[in-house]
Amino acid sequence: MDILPQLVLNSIIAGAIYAMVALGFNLIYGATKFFNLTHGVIAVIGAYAFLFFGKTLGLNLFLSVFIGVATAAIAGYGLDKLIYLPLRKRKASNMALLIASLGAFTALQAIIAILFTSQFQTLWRNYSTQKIYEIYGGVITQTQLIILISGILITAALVLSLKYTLFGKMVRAVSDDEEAAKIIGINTDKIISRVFIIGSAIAGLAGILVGFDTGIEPTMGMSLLLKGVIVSVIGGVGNIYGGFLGAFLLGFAENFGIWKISGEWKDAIAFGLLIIFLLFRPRGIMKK
Amino acid sequence: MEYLIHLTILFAIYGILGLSLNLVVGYTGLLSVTHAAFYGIGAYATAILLTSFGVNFFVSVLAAIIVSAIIAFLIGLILSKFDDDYYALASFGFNIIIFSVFLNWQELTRGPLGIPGISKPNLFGLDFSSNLSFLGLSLVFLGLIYFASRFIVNSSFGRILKAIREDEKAIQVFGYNTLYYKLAIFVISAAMASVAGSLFASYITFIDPSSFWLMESIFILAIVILGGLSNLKGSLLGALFLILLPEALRFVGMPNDIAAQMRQVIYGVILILLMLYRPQGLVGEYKL
Amino acid sequence: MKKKFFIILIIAIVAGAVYFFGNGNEDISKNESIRIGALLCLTGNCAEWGENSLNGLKLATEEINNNGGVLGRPVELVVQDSAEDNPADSVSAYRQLVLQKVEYIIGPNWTKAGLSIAPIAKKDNVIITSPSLGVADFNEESENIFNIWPHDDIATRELAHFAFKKGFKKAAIFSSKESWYQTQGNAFEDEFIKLGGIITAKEEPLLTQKDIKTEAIKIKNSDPDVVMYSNFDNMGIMAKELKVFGYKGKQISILMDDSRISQAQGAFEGVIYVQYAKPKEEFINKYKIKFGNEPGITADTAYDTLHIYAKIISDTGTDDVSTVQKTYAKLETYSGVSGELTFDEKGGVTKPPVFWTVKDGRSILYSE
Repeated sequence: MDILPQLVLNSIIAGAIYAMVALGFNLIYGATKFFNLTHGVIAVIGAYAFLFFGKTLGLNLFLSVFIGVATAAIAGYGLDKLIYLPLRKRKASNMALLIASLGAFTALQAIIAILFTSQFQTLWRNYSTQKIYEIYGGVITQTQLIILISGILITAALVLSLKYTLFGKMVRAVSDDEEAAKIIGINTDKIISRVFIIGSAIAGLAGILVGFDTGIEPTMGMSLLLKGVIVSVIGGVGNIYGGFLGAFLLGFAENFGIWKISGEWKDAIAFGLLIIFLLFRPRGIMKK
Repeated sequence: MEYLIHLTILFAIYGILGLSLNLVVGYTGLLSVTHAAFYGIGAYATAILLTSFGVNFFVSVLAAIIVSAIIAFLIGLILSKFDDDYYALASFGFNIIIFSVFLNWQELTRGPLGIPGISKPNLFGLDFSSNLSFLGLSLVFLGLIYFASRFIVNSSFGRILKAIREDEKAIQVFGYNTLYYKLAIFVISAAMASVAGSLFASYITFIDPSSFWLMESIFILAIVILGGLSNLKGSLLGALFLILLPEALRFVGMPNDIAAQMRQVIYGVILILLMLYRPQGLVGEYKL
Repeated sequence: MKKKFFIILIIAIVAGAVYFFGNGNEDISKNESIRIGALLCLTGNCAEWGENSLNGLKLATEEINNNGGVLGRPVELVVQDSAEDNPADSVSAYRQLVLQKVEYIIGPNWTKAGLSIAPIAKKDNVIITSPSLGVADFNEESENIFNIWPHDDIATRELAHFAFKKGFKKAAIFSSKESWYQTQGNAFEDEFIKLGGIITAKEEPLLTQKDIKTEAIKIKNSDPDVVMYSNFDNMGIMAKELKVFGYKGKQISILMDDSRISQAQGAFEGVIYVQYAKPKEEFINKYKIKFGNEPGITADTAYDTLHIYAKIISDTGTDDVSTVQKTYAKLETYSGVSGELTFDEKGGVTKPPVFWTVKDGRSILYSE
C-alpha cells in the first residue's frame, strides 16, 4: 500500500458518501428552500431497515437493500406529507420548517434507539474481512468499491434525468421559482413529494453502504447530515454537479488535511472550508 | 426544594441566553447559530481564571465579557458579509470551529478532560456557595440583562435594528451604516451570553467542551423561536418551557427501558406540533 | 391578552405538576420496597454503556427479589436517564432521584456526569456507586461516593509493561478526545516511554468520527511493532482498516467486548487485551437467557454493584444511609461476576488485571 494513492482513494470513498447524502439534501433544498435536518436520520432509517430485514430476518441481500432504500423513501415521503407540506400550505417560514425538522430528527432518532437499542451493530453476517482490491497501489474493500460506483452512477443518473426527462425539467422549474411553476400548471406539491422520495431513497442507500463499511448506531445521522450540508454549500446549494464536485473536494481536504494535522481537527477543517467558500465563492464551485 | 432551585438557576441561565439571542435573531433578523460558542467562552474564561489564577468570580465575568466581545467582533465582521441562509450556515461553522478549539487546545482548556473544581462566587466576604444564594445571584444577573435588553429594544438603536430586519437596503438609503449596528448588537449579545456561561461554570463546578456544541446553539435558538421572536418576555417563557418540558416528562411513568428515548420522542413531537399550530411562538409578534 | 393569560396558566400548571409530583412520593413506598436509583446514560454517546448497566441491574434485581429481597423487602429500581452529554441534565437527573427520596444510587456511567454530580452528592444523604466511571477524582471527592470500576490506569500501565517485556519497542496509540480514553492512552504512552519504548504515532479522533482510514494510514506508516487501542467505541473500525491496509503487527487493548470483536470484521484475531476477569460463565448464561445476547460492557459491574448494595444493607440490618455507609467503608473484598474486587480506603476498587486474547472470534485467557 502506497501512501499517496491510498490517501486519494480514501478521499474518493469519503467523497462518494458525501455526494450521495448531499444529492438528496440538495434536491430537497432546491425544491423547498429549507434545510431539512431529518435528512441525516433518513439515512439511518435505511440502514436499520436493512439490519432488520437483511440480518435479523435473514432475507436475501439485494431484496433487503431494496427494502431498506424503500423504507427510507417512504419515511421521507411521510415526513413531507405529514409535516412539511402542511407547514408550506400555512406559508410557514423556513425557520419554522427548520425547527419542525429538528423535532422530527430528535423523535425519529429516539424511535430507532427504542426499536433497536443504542448498541453499535454491524450489518454484515460473517466474521471475516471482505475482499480487497488493489488499485494503482492503494487498497479498497468490496464495500468501498460499491460505495464509489454507487456514488458515481446515482449522480450520473440524477443529472441525466434532471436534464432530459420531463420530470427533471419540472423539478428544475420548481427549484427556480415555485410560484412561477405553479402558474404554468405544474403540480408543485406532487413534484416536491417525488423529490423527497428520491432524495430519501438515495440517503437510505448511503446509510446502508456506510453501515457496511463501518457499522451503525442510532446517532450516526447527525455527522452525515452536517457533511451533506457543507458539501451542498460548497457545491452551490441546489446545484447537483456542484454538490458532486464539492463532495470530493471535501473528501480530499479532510483526508489530506488530517495527514498533515491531527484527526481531531477534521470537523474544524470541514467547516473552515465551508466558511471560506461562503466568503469567496458563495454561489459554490460551479459558476451557474 | 433543591430540585426546584436547580431548575430555576437553569432557567436564569437559559433565560439570559434566550434574551441575548433574541436581540440578534428576533429584533435584527440575523439568524445566528453561534451562540453556544460565546456561552462556552464565558464558561471557559471563568473556569480558567478561577481555577488556575484564583481570580474573583465577578472579575472573571468582566474578563469573559471582554474576550467574548473581541471574538464576537471578529466573527461578526466576517458574518456581516452574508445574509439569510448563508449567515446561518457560516455561524454554524464558527460554532464548530470554536468547539474544536475548546476540545483541542488542551494546554489551555484541558480538552475533553474538562475543568473541574470551579468555585462559587465570593464578593467582599459575601459567599454565594449555597444554592439558594446562587439562585439569587443568577436572578439578579437575569434581571440586569432583561432590563438592559428592554432598554436597547425601546431605544432608537433598537428601532434601527428592527428596521434592518424589515428592509436593510431601505434603511441604508437613509445613510445608516447598518454594518455598525449589526456588529454592535452581535457583540452585545455575545457579551450577555458569556455572562450566562460564567454562571454555568460556577454553578456546575465542572465544564467540558461538549456542553457547547452545535446542538446547544440550536437549543437556544429553539428557545427564542418557541418563545416568540422579538418579544423579550417570550424568550423567558421559551426558556421556562424548554427547561420544564423534559423534566416534567421525567415524571410521566414509562417502562424503564424506553423512558429516556420516549422523552426525546415526545419532545420532538411537541416541537413539530408547535411549529404546525403556532409558528410565531408562544407570544411572538414576528415570524422570521 | 387572553392568549398571554392562557400561556401563563399552562406554565403554572406544568410547574405545579412538577412540584407536586416531585413531593408527592413522601410516604408511599418508603417502608415497602428498597428503592435503588439507576442513574444511567440512556441517551447520547454513552447510551450503549447505560443500556448494558440497566440490563445488569435488572438481572440482579430479579435474582434478589426471587430470593426474598433485602431485609425482607423487594428491591425496586428507579430509573433516570443521566443524559450525560450535558452536565446540567445529569445534575437534573440526580436531583430528581433525590427528590424521589432515593438514597442508594448506581451510576452515572461516564466521567463528565460524575464530576458534575460528585460535589453535590457530597452534601446529600445518599450513597452513590458508579459501575463504570474509572476516575479517582469521582470517588475520592467524598466518603459516600464509590466506584466499582478500577480507577486510574493500573491495568493500562500493566499493559505497557507486558508489551515492552514481549519485545515491542515501538507502539502506536489509537485513542480519542474523550476524557477517559485519552487518559488511558496518555498513561500507556507515559509508562511505555518510561520503560524505554517509543511511541511512533498517536491518533485521537472524536468518537463521532467513524471514517478513520487516513488515521489508519498514519498509524501503519509510522511502522509500529504494536498498536494499542484505548478508543473503545471505534477500535474495531480501526483494526479493520489497519488489516485492509496490510498491517501485520500485534495489537493490544485495554477494553474489549463481543460487539467490538464483531466490529473489527475479523481483524481482532490475536489481539491481546487486559481487562479483568471475564464475567463468570454463569452470569453470561443467565444474561443470555434473559436478554438474548452476551452481556455488553458494564453489565457485569452494574450487576455486582446492586448485589453489593444488597449485601451491605443486609449485613447492616437497616437501610439507614449513614449506618450502611460505615459497613460499606469497611468492606475489603468482594467476589463478583466482574472479578475479585479489593476496595481501597477511598471508595475505589482494584482488580488484578487479567490478560485475554481473541481466537476464532472468541475471547480466551491469554497464555504464553
